[in-house]
Amino acid sequence: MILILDDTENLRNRFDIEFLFEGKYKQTCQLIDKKPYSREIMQLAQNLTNFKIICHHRSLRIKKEKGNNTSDEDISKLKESFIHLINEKKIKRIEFGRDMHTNFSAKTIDKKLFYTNLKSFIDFYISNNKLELRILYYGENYEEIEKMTLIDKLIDEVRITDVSNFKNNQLIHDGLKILFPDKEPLNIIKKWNNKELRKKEIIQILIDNL
Amino acid sequence: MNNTYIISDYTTKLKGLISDLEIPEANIIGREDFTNEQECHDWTTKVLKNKHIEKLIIPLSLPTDAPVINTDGLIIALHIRLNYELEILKRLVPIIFLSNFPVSKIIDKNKNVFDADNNPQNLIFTKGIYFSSFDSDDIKTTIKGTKPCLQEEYKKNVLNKLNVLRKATIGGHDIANAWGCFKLAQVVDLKDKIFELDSISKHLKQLYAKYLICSNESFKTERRIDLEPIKCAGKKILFIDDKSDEGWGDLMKNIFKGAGDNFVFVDSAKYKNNETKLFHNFDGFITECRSHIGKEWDLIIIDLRLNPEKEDVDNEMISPTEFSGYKLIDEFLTKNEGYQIIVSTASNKIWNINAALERGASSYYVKESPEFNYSVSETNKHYENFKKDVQKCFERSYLRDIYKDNQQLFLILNSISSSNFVNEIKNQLSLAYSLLNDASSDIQFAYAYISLYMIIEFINNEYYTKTSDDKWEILGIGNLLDWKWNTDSNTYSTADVEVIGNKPPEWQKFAGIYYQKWNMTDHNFIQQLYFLITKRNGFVHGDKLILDKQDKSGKFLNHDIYTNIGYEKLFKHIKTIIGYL
Repeated sequence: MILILDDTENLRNRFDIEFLFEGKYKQTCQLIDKKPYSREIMQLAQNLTNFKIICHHRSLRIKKEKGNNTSDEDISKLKESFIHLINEKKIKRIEFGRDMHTNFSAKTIDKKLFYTNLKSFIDFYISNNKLELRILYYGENYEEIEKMTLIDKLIDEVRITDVSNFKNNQLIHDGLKILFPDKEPLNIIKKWNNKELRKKEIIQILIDNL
Repeated sequence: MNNTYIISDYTTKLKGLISDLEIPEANIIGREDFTNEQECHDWTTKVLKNKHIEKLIIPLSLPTDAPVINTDGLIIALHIRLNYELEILKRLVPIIFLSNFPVSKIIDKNKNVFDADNNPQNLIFTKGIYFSSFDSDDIKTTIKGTKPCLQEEYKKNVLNKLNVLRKATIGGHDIANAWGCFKLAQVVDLKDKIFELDSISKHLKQLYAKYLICSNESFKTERRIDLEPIKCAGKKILFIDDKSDEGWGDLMKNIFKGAGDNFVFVDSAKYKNNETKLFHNFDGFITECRSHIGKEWDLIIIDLRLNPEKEDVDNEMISPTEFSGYKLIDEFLTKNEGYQIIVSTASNKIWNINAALERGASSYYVKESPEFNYSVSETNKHYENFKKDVQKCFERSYLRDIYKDNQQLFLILNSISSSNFVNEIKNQLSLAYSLLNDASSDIQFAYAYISLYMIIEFINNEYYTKTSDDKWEILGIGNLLDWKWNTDSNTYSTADVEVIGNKPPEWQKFAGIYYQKWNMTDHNFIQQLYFLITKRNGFVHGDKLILDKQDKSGKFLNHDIYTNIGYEKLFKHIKTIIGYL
């Protein structure tokens, strides 16, 4: 189950998320789009293991109970311990916010990007029972972008490595495996050597095959 | 390479390149991480403002060792091209992007990744943008061939080719607020002060706002000094706006600086979350706004939509009478119809404004919106109209006191009785006020005056009856005596002679009630009433001799019947008279 906590006003008008309220998406993803009361947060905390990932707005505002003397400080502590508990239970957590810096390692993401890619992310989860965070960050064609990243690194390596050392360079091998999955990297390198290709020509071949 | 600079993240990849290109250490601009567009704007301003950069190299993917390739370099370049804080020539520095991929692959492979609002990929096809691989020879060749886009080509070959849109995730209210505030500040010579406010500048540093500002070059450059600031000394002004803490409070305080401490705004910051700028206690805000109802304001400016999170929602039709600002206007006017209210709004929907005007607001001010990127001269006209409206409100603020006094008079009259006579006076007070409220021409003011005067005739009619011997009996008192002005004693007196025959003048009948029934002795009061009634007669009978009567200095004594002044003089007497009933 995926949990999303976002009390942004008019969320449904601002983002295309109607799908979350229908069929399989509703069963897979729970959206809490109202500021939760402190007791609701405590209930969620007790059932954290139901969730594979928790995505929340960076502010994560919590409402005080009516007639309860909960102070602002208590609310702030509750928020901290809720986040601490998620981390402790090793449940994946993503923070999103308007114009937030999108950082895959820090697990922060711009809210618009988050909602843009959310459907594909859930679709993948439903089909493969696997959370593929790269879909949230790079979209459906994340594999394409990753491939480009590897080729980019491959080209860098080709540029800085002497042609005679290509055969010993693991990064070049890895890149070639990605770009030419059906061919043996060493054979490719040999072929280049035999043809006495210059680096520029090699790079052009790599780009042409992207 | 003396004036060629490079944005670097000091990775090995770039270090070697910089060395090969022999770029001096001083020409390396350290890349920073940005969490938002505002930071990127400020950074580009900082690094470009005081440097003479002839060519700028930017790696397309930043940082160059990012785990996943990106096109963030384009965003930095876009911020440079649209940085209105830089001279145009600096904005147009030729930019050489470094990428291992040709443009066609970048566009093709990233097509689903480019930001759909800012469309940074469009920049690639503008003049002054070049691409090179990371090969130092390639870079050198590219650098040699670069030419800047000329200043005169900026619009055609850069701006017109971009497609920067308002972010769908950002409510229009925020940016429109900042835009409207800054535009107004511009024509009152406060733009620098307002731009210093983070709440304003953070919105104007968004690419969308930057794009609009650059498309309207006079936006930032034109300077103007308001030669005729609003005269408001001694005036009491109330300003209610949910964005008062985000520029508008400061701006209006400066516009109405002549009012000093008599300019009051409800500090919305107290009721908002500091970070999100959203209300956490909107009810508290409205309660504070309500606490000002009933006070003596000469002008009230109220924003129509005080709770934008609920009232500024795209594609949602909300009746204008549901807006919190409208409701507040209604509450102010219910207390006192004479309040002079200017409704301000960022909405250009005429039906929203009309609803407020129909309810009784005096005028409106539409905050400029980025959707209409007006020139400074247009903004200026807009402001001049606002100033005129403000002056008109000040001129008409007497209505507030007259309305308030009318309400007091109603209470007095209600305590007397509910007779037809009392009801007649009440109706006449309302009618006269209504005519005064609507009066804009000389004749209309005179009609309001005549209408008010009718109350004296009502009183005379109520208290007199014609006797069988042709005299005028003051009911329960005796017959009307022949009151005359005695120039020696400057008083009214009578030789106990009763008035007989033809209808005596109204002033004399009233003098009879005043002296004989009420036993009052203020002769000046009756003398002034005599002048006031004569003035009315002069107008009704078209008697120029009366109307154009002048004092020794040549001042027209009776022309005030054509203004609110005449009404106010008569009203003062009517108030006293009703107190005697």
